[in-house]
Amino acid sequence: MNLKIGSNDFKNVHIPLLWGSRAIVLDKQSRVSIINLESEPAVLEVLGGNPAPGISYRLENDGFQILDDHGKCLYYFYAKPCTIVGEHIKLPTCQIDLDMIKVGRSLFSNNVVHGFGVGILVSESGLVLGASLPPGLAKLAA
Amino acid sequence: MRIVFNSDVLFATQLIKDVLNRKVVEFMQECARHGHSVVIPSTVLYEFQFKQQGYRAAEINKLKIAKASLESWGIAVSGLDFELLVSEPDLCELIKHCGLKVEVVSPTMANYENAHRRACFHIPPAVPGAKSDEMRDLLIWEMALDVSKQDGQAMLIAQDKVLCGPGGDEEAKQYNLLRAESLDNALDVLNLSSISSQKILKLLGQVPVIKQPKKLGGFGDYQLCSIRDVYFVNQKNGCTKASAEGTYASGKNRFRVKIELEFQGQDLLWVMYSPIESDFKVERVLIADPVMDSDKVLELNNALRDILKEE
Repeated sequence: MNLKIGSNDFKNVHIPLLWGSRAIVLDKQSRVSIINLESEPAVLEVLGGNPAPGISYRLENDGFQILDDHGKCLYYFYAKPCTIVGEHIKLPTCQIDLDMIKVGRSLFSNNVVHGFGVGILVSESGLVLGASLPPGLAKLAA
Repeated sequence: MRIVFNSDVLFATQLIKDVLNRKVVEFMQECARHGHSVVIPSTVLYEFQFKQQGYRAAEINKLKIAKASLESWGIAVSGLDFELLVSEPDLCELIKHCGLKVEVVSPTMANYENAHRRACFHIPPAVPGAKSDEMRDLLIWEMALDVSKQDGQAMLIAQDKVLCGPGGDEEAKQYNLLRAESLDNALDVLNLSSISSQKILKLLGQVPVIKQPKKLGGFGDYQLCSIRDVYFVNQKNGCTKASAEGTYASGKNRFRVKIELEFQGQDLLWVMYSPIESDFKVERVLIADPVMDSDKVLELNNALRDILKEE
């Protein structure tokens, strides 16, 4: 996949931004989608900045909460600027702006990541720029 | 009302600089508008401080590594005291910035002794069959009950199963301790209406009065007085289904119903009321026919597929 997110160039990368087990992807109109790769098949949770069909959610000011099967909030999604805030998912906040990706207090801007499994990997143990694909994830495919 | 917070609803997953999580701030501002105040058990304060100290240490370490890296390239970085630069947040001050009165309460000797007994004898609010009883949770439970006993009512917000699970139902009811597992749930319990509840209320305003639920054999006009536990699910046809629990009241008489509905944009399509606790006629009320509009979903799906197919 070749994708530019927040001025960062991801070339020949399988997943540009992986937030836990969730792949964050932008389409050509910069609309954000989030795909859960925790189990096969992958589950589309956010489609173009909106809750995907079939996904339970609650409304928020300027966004929404994505819920699990028991009604617990997994994370919040705010549209402008695109911000993903974990609740049940205990990961740093991820924000995507025109010129940067901000994860927790770390800023990524004007980086080129080439040929890695994951462009930016956000996990409980920290952040990695240019990482191999974690095992056990579902396939990210059209 | 005084609202007791557990640390798991403060959403501190990174070093807090000068403001709490947006969701927490919005909730606290809403509570301030309605005259509620916050109680932070000292246990919760220590947990918050412990986590923030860890994040702070990690940030200072990052800065030291960055400094060393710059210096290895001959770029001098001097005059910076990272210990002073990266400060630890003051939880009480952050809450006060939201306009709320806040107090920190410490456990009494009686709290310690009761928590000790609960832990050893697996007395509620312990979850049946649990392998261990967390003393911190039991202390927070004791302090929350104390606040409720003093005021006649209080609220505890916690995601933790011990604090918000069925094990504590009886005692919570006895001492009028309201509990909520999330900030949204807390808004609904406090009748402050979350964004989701407001959406449902607005949609239900389209239901003709004659079609609204009435308790079988009951008299008087029942009005919808609260909505909680709302969730939505978008459909592929562009409509959205929603589910919620509603409480209808007529004077002191109340009954709860499960509400399921479907809407498109601002238009309610149908709503179905089902009984929860009392005899009730299940009724599906059709308001309007949907206008099929799956184009938007299709367009977004195709745009995403284009990106995922690229090699």
